[in-house]
Amino acid sequence: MTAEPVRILAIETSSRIGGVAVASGPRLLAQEQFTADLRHAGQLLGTMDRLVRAQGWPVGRIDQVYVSAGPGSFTGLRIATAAAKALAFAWPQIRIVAVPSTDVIAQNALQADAAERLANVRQVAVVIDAQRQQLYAALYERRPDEAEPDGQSSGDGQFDEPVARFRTVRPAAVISATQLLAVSRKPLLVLGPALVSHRKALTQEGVFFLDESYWQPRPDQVHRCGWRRAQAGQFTTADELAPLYLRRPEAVERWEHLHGKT
Amino acid sequence: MKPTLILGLESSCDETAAAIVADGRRVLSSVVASQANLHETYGGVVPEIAARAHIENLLPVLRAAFDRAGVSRQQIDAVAVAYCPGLIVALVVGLTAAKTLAWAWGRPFIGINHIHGHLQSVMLEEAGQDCFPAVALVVSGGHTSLYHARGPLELELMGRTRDDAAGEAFDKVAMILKLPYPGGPSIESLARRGDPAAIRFPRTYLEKDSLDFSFSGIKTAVLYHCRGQNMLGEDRVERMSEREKADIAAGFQAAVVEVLVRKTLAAAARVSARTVLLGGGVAANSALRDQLQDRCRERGLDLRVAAKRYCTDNAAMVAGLAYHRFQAGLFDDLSLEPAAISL
Repeated sequence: MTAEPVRILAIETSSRIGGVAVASGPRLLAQEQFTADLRHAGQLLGTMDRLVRAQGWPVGRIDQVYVSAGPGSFTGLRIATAAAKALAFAWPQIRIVAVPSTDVIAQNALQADAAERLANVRQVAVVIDAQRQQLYAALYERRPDEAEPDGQSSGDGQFDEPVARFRTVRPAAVISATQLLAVSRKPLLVLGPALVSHRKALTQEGVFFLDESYWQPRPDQVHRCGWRRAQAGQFTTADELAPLYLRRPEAVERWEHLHGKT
Repeated sequence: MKPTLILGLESSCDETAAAIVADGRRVLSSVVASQANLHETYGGVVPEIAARAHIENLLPVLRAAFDRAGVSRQQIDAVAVAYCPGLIVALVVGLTAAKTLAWAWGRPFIGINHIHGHLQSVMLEEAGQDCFPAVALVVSGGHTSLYHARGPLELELMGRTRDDAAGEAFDKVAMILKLPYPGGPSIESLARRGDPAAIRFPRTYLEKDSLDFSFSGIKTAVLYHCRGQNMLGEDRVERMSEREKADIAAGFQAAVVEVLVRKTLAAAARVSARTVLLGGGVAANSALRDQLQDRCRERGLDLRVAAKRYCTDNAAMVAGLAYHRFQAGLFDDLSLEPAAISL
């Protein structure tokens, strides 16, 4: 007996450029990036519609939705989250996987053409602009095949790829460029959209940067990370699904600062 | 005949709402999750806090709307949402959810102007039978607008606020007087114990014949009254007697109500309307309702006021107005984007 292939929709709206991918189990069928920056609200549904129709899928027969859950643009994260929640409300059989957006970007470092750089580094840092001179950053390390995964990050945040095995050393957190340099081990390979503004602050001996073409999160990588998590049973309910903000609203931070709370 | 069932969503400011309305009039469910307590500390709506709460409230509100209406998801004929005007970061949550639901169910999607929705709230249930043509005043924390309404979809803007909305002025004056947020109910309750003639605050009518509004001047007048001219004096509010605070609230409310009533009547006279419609959060204010009722009666005008539960932001008004667009085949594309201003 062969199982029906799993029909998957992957949504990436955490960053400046958004996009959608459709996949059948582990196999990517198609992906499309939005044609303009920061037009996620206007382009998400039309893109989903085109891709799903092109596969001849009735919407009600989608099985899983993978969401790039953050950190990133708050509004962008809410667009993907609202869409995933609404889809699961419309068709309760749909299961959701939330993927950290830093994992999505880290996948870019595993592409064959970036692998050369990766072979000689100790750690990989993914950096996303957190505004107010800070970064959302996550640190990864190649995991030797023989090593036991450490208990803390077992399963969660690890992903296998043909090129290298990663484990999450530090999941995404708000951190300054200086702090990131202090906690990371060199040689360090850095990628992510925050390099547009923070490259200089991260420049140091033993720090290397991937080319700009690797900085943006992509929908096919959301699918790749999501599929691994789905295989590990890491689903989230539509009610639990929440953007990974990592930062409170600015008004709250300011108010607490003014009133002496931390 | 099977009624047309429309699911409406609303997230333009600080209420997350979902409703199911039959044939544009019969409200099967109207669920509103208010966030007022989240914004109280800040004396006004904080967009990012509102947007986060919309995400959290979305599914509980939707589920409750279906449970209370007792209809199944397959029975919904169209999905509607307020897409303007409002806070973009807030609007986009309801907008994305509504588009996704419409797409997922293969049903028409309808975008609604939130202010036009407020006007429609007068027509929910039985209150609004045969009310056109009319002059409509929509007055809330975000809007103060006068329309000539020839039908539910034929609305012509006659005037609107050039600065603060009337409800916003209530919030700001409540803040000056150190009253709890939201300011409308606080001011109204305090004003009951005050003398509206004790302190005369300025009424701003703008140019002759203008039907626009301006409420920033009166807010400033209250501020000067409490803190001295140009705010050079000390803040007297802490030491003020309850009586004086009540007089300020009553005098402020009287000035705002007088301007609203006079402009509305002038608008009705200009287009020879026989009916006046009143909606929006400030329509819950008794002083406004009573005075507009008295003046309308004197002039033989028929006043229709939204039921109090539909004065504040809700989704029944969105689904109610969407019914008329549904009947007219006026659907929207899934590329519809949110807009901060009224379109």
